Amino acid sequence: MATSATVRHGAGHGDAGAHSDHGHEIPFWKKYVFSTDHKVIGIQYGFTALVFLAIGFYLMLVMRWSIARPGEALPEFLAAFLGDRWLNPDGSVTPDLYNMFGAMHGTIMVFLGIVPLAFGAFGNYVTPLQIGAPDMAFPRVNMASYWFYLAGGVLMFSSFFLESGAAQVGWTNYSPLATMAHTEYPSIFWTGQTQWLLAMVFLISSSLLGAVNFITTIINLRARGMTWMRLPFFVWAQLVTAFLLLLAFPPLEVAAIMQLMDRMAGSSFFVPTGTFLKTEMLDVSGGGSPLLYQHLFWFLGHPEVYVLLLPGIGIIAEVVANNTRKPIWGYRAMVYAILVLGFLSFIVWAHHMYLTGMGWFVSAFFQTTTVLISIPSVILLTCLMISLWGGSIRFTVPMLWATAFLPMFGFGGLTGLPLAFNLTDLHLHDTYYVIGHFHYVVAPGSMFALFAGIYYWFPNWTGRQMNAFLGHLHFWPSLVAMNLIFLPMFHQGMAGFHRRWYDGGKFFEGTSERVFLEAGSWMSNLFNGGAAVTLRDLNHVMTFGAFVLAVGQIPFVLNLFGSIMWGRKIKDDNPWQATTLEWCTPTPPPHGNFASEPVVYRDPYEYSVPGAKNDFSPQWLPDEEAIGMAGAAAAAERPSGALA
Amino acid sequence: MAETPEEIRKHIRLYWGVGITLLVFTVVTVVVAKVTPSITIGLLIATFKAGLVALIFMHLNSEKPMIYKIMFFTAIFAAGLVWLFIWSLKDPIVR
Amino acid sequence: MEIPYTVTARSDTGLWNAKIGIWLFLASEVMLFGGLFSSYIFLRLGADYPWPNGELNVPLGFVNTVILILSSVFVVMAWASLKMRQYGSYLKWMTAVVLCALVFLVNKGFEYYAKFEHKTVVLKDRSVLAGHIPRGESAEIRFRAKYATVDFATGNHRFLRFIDNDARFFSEKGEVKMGRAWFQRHRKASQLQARADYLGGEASRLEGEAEAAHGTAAEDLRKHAEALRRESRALAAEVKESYPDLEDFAGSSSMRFELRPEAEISVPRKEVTAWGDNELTFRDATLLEGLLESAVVKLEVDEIDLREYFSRSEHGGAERDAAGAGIFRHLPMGVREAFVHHREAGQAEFEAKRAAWERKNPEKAFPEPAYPAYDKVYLDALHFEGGGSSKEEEKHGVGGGADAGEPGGEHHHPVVTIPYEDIRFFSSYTPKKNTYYAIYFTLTGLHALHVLGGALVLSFFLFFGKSLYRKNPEHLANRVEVGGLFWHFVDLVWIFLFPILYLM
Repeated sequence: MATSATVRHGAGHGDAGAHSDHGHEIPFWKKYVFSTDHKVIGIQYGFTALVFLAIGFYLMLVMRWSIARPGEALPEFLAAFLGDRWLNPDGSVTPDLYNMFGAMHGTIMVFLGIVPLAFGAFGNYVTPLQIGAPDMAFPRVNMASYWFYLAGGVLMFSSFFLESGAAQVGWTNYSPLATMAHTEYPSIFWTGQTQWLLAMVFLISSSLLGAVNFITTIINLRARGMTWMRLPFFVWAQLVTAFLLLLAFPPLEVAAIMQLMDRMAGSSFFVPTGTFLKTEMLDVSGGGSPLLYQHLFWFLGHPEVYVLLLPGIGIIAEVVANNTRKPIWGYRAMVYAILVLGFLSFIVWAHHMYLTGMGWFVSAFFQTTTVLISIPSVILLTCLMISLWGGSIRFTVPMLWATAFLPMFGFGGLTGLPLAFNLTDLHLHDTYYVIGHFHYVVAPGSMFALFAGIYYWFPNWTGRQMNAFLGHLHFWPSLVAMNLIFLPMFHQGMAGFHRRWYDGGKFFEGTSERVFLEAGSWMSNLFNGGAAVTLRDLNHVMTFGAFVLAVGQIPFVLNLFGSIMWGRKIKDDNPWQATTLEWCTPTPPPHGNFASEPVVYRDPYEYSVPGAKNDFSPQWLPDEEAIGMAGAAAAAERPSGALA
Repeated sequence: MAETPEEIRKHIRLYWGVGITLLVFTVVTVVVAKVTPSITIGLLIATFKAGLVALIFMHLNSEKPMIYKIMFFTAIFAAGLVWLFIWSLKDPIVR
Repeated sequence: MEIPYTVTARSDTGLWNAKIGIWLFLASEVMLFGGLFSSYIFLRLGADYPWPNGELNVPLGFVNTVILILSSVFVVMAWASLKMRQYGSYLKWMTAVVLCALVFLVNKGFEYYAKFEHKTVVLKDRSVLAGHIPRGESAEIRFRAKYATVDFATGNHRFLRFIDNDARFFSEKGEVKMGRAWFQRHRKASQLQARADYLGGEASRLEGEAEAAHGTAAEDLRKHAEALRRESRALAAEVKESYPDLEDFAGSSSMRFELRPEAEISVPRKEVTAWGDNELTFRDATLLEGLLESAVVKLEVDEIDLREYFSRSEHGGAERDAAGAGIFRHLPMGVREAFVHHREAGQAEFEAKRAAWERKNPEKAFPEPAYPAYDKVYLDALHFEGGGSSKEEEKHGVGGGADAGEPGGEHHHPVVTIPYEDIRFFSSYTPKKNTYYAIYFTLTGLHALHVLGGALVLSFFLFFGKSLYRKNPEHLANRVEVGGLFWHFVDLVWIFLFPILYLM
């Protein structure tokens, strides 16, 4: 970070006193561990989140093994992490272990993996750079946000090692089951179920601090000339995401506190009158309502889906614009769509609760809003699709992920429609269909977008490119494996496979052994030697896909760490020839980001401007430099969206 | 919002006036509760008091548009939270 | 590097950073308390029991309201003083704010303490008594244990917490050091044993298959079976060697110990699931055998509540006989008569009110209350002859029991002894009592945490504001404004909490 000296102000400027900013004086632990620099915090978020994603992925492999091969001993490389405690004597997965891993897979992936990666890592690293800010508005709050997240994550993860094991009641933690679970252990406080709630309180606090910081930064620290309609779309996505986190998380905090009271103080917020545990009537007053818990949970739960998704769409917009070398088609439409999407996402939550016995009118209301919310989603997707049209597309590695994202996300979205309708949802609720649907949105959807982001912004962070060959080796197996895993889920789900079967349906032969491919059909000839394939056999396909996916991530890990050290050095600070502000910094960006305060002259995606000397006109260059004197006059003629 | 010392000096009487009004209405709400168990009246008084605090003490009577926008949407979502909860409780599946 | 707009406002938004930050934070707080308030409404509308009304200490709540409103004015004054650059006056007002916060929290402590001390007993027929446990008594179940049987599947060491002497556990083989370690050891040993058994079974199965097979296939199967058998034997030997004391019990699902000397157990009702004259079962299925010494609640009664007794239709509901309620079997004779009298008077008054209403509104139906108020009464409001309790002859007045036999006066409350087997539910006036107290403690507790947090931040500005004031007084004024906004919000929440929890 030698270049950073040029941008520092004199010491007299900062009135933080003790927190002087001289690069050479900052000790290592302050610079990289307890750092207040948004980029370092972003990287911290990123690596922590990747570790948690790997853990969540491992849990999934164990579960998928149990589904495909119930009652068979876990292979040694999976069982190595598990004590005898949770395995059957024959080495197979116990139902308790499956429940535990199911609950924690969801929790870890959503709250510890994707949100921190999408919002914490990319949001922290990229947002201030893209709006031309020297840092976040509250750098120390930013640091607190990361440490709260880490504390919550460590707490959540360490609950695996308690006597009770981790939480087992699903990532939704529904009461009253969650209230009663683990109450037979010596100390109710030191059980996975209680620690889950505590960890959630930490994670929620972290998200709230982050959200406040992001919104303030975007509102108040935009560079000169960076008007609202000149914001890169990624920043809009982060802004809406931050609002979702800010306003949707508190009700979940309420739910967590109330469930904590139920467990620790004996209250009955979520325990109805006359609840029995096994044969004993519970020693509680009753009078509570499990429905209340579901309301509070899903008031967060649904906006949370968009928290997972919107940063991804933001990344894709950046990558698509950059690699098609043309402006995003319908930028304004996308901005309004994402705002409407954010608004509507607050009033659709009860479509997760059609089976709870709500009345017709309420169900009809939520059904209507849920169908409405597909409109802005389709606008976003369509705009990105049309942006491809007529572009001279460069199939760089990030662009591969982006182009795969579009249909995969489309799959996820379209298969959501039957779940929006009350009548069809009654049939599909809690089946593998639901699993397939939201995994298409989150796994090949959000995750692909995040991979695109990693490949896209890696040069900015390190000054080196990631290896393209390893990138291809990462992408193609991932794309194929994702579909191998999730596509058969729709078939199983429509046939009634329940999402919580730890044995993959072995016990329910009547349902699960129905024939999927007739014996002797060309498909069964091709794949199964002519024998009939039952629905339950699809489990083997999916589990095979899961292991392929696992192997497919090895090139990524090699690429990520290898490229930090040995990647091809970029010759220019703007290797992708992009237009947004993060590429006008020195590489890597120093503390304080910009060599001089940037000024924004144009819209974010001015690619292939007619008459310009390059096919990209960066936001930070005045017309004379970016377009050339001849083009400047032409550019002045153009109607611009810069006036908002 | 008052920013200069002169303006603030003028506002101090207002702040004390609001404080006294709040105290008076606290007495009123206790007395009303003794006379009638009406929830509506109690909530109306509370809303009036809360409005005074928000408008005068928290200067919401003269804030910047950005703050209004944020709080407007927050109010909508909070109202939705309360209203939809109650609606779902009051709309039974069988009627 | 310096973050712009920390003190001065940005020209186009007109705001400095912390101002936006605090309003965003308040927005999330609105959602937090919005969630709590809608939970309150949800629980209240869905309550299947009489929602408590006027059970809290209104004078104390009123005082706290006044304190918070005053502190809100003070914090504005502190900010105004800073804006006018009067640091001395700022210190004065800010000190007042912090003191107000402390007084508020102390009051809250008193209020909570009173509720923790207050108990309620719901009998099987849902007649309710409320009162205090006389000094020196406890509501715990007391038991003298001679044998303990622990269940291996669910059992754990929690029951040891309630044994008040140094009980020693003896199996047939000798003394066992009972505790967490013992349970862990045993669990480990049974896992190993189960694995050994499984491998042995697999080996036998393979040998059976080898019998049926021929040639090299049979040979392979035999080899494989032999390997499994070896592993199984090794595991079994390990169990035998490492856990010699547990050998005899492997395979059985529970284990019985003798306690020497006999153990005195004193345990709260919630810890046990069942008890009899000679048995006591804990939540984890640990069974104690011995002698039940006492399973009663002694209560100095100050309130009778028959509202649920009359409202539950499954037992005849409103058709029930007031005098037949279970509580009167425990109370002095006079109370029953006084209550029946009180109820009849209340009903007559109610009927008169109904008649007047129906005369005035002939076409409208009279709004029938679900739980008539006259079914609940404070003993102080009843006039009865305290002729001694029907079952127990003990009398403990608050003053020390000297006033036994006097007519029901201000400080005279009968003491009753109710066996747990008659009790449906026993609780303090804590979150356990019902959803009202649950939401009351949650709401006021979270609010008190906000008060505490606000007080800490404001005290920080009070004690450490000087250096910042010297450097940049506007910056301190901004910080106080931000802290003040939070403080007003806390006040605003209380303005709603006071009526909905204390008054309505």
